[in-house]
Amino acid sequence: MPSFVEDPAQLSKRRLRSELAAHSVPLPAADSGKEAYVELYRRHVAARSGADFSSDEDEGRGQAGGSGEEASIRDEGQKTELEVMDVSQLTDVELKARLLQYGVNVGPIVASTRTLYEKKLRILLKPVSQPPLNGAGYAAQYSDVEDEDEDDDDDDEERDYGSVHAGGHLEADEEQDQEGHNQVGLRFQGDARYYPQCFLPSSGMLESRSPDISKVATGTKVGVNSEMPLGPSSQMDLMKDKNATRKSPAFSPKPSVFRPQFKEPVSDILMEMFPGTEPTPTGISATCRRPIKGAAGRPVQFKYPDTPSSPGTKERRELQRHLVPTWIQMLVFLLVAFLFYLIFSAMQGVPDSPSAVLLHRSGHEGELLGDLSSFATSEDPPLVSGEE
Amino acid sequence: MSSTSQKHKEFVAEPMGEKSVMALAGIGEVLGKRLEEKGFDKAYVVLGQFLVLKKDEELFRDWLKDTCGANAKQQGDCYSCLREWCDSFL
Repeated sequence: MPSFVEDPAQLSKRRLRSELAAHSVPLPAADSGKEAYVELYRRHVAARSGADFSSDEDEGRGQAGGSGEEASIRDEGQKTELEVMDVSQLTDVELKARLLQYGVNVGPIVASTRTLYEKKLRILLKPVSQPPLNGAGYAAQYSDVEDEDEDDDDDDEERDYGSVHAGGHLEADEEQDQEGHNQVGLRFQGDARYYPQCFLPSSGMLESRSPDISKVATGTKVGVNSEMPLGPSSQMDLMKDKNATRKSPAFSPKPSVFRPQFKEPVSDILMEMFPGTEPTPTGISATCRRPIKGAAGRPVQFKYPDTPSSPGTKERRELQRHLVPTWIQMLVFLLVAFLFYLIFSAMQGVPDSPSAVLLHRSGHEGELLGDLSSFATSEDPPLVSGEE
Repeated sequence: MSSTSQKHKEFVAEPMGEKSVMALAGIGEVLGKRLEEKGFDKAYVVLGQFLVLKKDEELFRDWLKDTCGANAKQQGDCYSCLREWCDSFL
């Protein structure tokens, strides 16, 4: 953050260059003159530092500067949205190239589409440090921070924690002994709450947290020290605080100073456990539910025999399968069919012979008749007729 | 989207010709007026924007939101309407 207001024209080219780089302004071509650098510096760094002084938040710095700059440049109606400057400063070709770097399927960048692509690039350029579930998009509806009254509670807790720590530091009277116990308890709880870090050894988190603790501790340590000599009333306060502290670690999953930092590793762990799941607004990622066997689908319970559970059932089934194989069945069928054919043909053959016999016999009879008739004509005709 | 509106079916059924922007699914009186104020008076002008954004859903939705303040459902209706029209007539 430049805390000076200098005429950029008086700066050296190298200085301008480093300043521009420090403000992540795309540098002009190497062969461009100092004027280009000065122009860029005036446009970016100076405007941004101006915004620095005017704006309260550090985060809104770039955007605020961008909007101020943009208002003068663009006379379109969309002044409500904040624009990062270097995006709106890009030419169409540059914008397209930047978007292509991010793998965006860029269409023609014309007047009607340019704003959209700028917005898209701005979203892409934004560091993805924070997962979108806690993003600012939901800030209006849902907030991560507690309400005001709870914040007060937080402050109280913070003070308690600090006083406890201070006790640990002082280690003088017997009261402090008790506080030391408290501290142990709190430390314990603290460990329990840092538990997810066993899975996620992010030293950055630890480092970033520990100064906070020490700051709180030392800060209230001073306060306690100054309060101590004040008399019994302040000591009563201290006792009250201690009581509150003694209660809290055991029972309440108390809101504390560390909650905001604590949330991060949890979501990270979720992400670690279920990689590839997109972060959801609720933070709970649900996978597609698989049917529980036998629970909802009733017929499943009849499928249990299907699973080859015991070797006995398997054997039996194999036995059943191999008891009458198909080819044997075919063979038996053919045999039976052949047998039937034989019987049938035999049956057909049998009546042939009796009829032949009959015919034969009838022929004989004819002869016999002839003999008889000749005999009868000679002797007795009624006898012949009676014989017939 | 599980079911499509009557407006959607009507729009997708035939070439858009000179239909008004309000014939688009998801674009009613209010949004239609806003679009007309911005110069998007015919459905084919919106189609042009849709095409110049390479039929990209996200960009088109963003554009529709910026241009006429359409809500998510209106954006989705309009987008799917134009996309299906393109699928059958382009």
